[in-house]
Amino acid sequence: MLQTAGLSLEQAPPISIPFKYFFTASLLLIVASLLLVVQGSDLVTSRWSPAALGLTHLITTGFLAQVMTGAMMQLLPVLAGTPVSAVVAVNWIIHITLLAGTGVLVIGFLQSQHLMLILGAGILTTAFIVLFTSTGIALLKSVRQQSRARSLGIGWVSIIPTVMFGGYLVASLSGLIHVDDLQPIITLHLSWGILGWVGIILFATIFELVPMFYVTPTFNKVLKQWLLPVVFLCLVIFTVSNYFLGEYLDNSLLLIALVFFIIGLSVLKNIYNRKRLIIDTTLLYIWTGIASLLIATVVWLSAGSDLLIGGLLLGGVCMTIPIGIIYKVIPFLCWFHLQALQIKKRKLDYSAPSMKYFIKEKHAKYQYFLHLSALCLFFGALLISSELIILVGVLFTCSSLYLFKNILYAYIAYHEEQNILCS
Amino acid sequence: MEQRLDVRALEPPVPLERILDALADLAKDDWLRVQHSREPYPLYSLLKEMDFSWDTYWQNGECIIRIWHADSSQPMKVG
Repeated sequence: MLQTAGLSLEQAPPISIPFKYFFTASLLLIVASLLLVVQGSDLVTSRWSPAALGLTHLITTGFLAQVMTGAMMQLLPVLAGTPVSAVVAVNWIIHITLLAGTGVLVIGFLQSQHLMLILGAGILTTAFIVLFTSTGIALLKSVRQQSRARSLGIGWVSIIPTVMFGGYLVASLSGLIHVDDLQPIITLHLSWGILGWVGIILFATIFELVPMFYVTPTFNKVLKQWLLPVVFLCLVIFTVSNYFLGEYLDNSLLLIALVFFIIGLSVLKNIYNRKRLIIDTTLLYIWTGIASLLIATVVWLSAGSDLLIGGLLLGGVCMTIPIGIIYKVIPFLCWFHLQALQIKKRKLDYSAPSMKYFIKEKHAKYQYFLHLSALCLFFGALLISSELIILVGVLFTCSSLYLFKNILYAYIAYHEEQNILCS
Repeated sequence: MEQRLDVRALEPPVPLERILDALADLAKDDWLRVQHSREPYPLYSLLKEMDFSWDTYWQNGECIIRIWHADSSQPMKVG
């Protein structure tokens, strides 16, 4: 089939959009790390302490949502050839509401203020509705790429039950409705959020980014197109099992653990078979994230500590893989936007710097080792001694500051080059 | 005359760099046939700006992009 459609440079999202998301993400990571320093001891004693709930949402609806939205806005034009309509205005709304909603919600948790919880949940719901609608429309426009975007799409659909159960919990905690037993709702909110929204979107993104950036074989078609929908289906079954046929259906969560284990191994195998056997720091982040996922599923399947599983998923996967994505996406975008500007300005004597210029490999590596040390110590704090948690917080703070500095350096380097081109 | 370029085994942004380099030397009535592992959507915005036309089709799991000067006629034979 012949096809001649394409984006114009004016349609492509401006580079300020991903930078805005990535800057905010790193700042939220700094806040989350400082929370570990200040209220760390509460965090390791219970998953349900106000500090633990605040930290979880700082990382998920804060850091992770910012990174994945920034990456998604760039992935749509690159993978599907369709940008989000009115991209600047839509992203302004999404960015502000995601940030404000997370901030208000986290304050609500930390200070046990019900009004703040309701307000935060409401603002976040607005953010997700705008995000879901705008990206959904863009995906529907790209008929040819719909099968590729299916997993990304169902990842974003998973946000609906996550928000619904989250809203139900907030309403219950605020006394607006009465619920006898909150535990099933908490489990459903957590399952849809971590396994559905986070898990599906993260791996749908990996399925696209890994073959493209590391020149690996494409993933097995069945694996790529059907395993993540299976996760979604299992979550639907698990939700139903809370109300009907529980004794037959509640093993669906175990099946999800198994699916993620298979996906994790497949990603490792795929990367092992890449054409260029260079190991850059972004790969270290992905490997660490996948290793954490595999360990978490083993601990889960062997009925190990819930706190350790949460730590592995939140710290090892949710805080780690997105940093690798940031370090891969930012240099490419800087290079591409300069290249586009060069062509637009017809400056034939200009040569754009290589991708490595924008985020130096040694700086990405220093941050990786700081991050890895913090992670190892974090698992040590969960398993051996909770007194280590303050040191964990200090190390995560240093690592997050380093991430912020690396993004800032790339931003400044990009603008210096842009000024050279426009002079 | 057809010029050929295979960028399937290259990691971003090298495929884009190679294509742009090849286009800089593309004679008026020639066209460039690029073998790519995926459809390079970002390339199209650059081609539009550089006054090139193109068509795209898939063959044996590879994306084939043919690029020619916008003021030249489209190459006749696909493949």
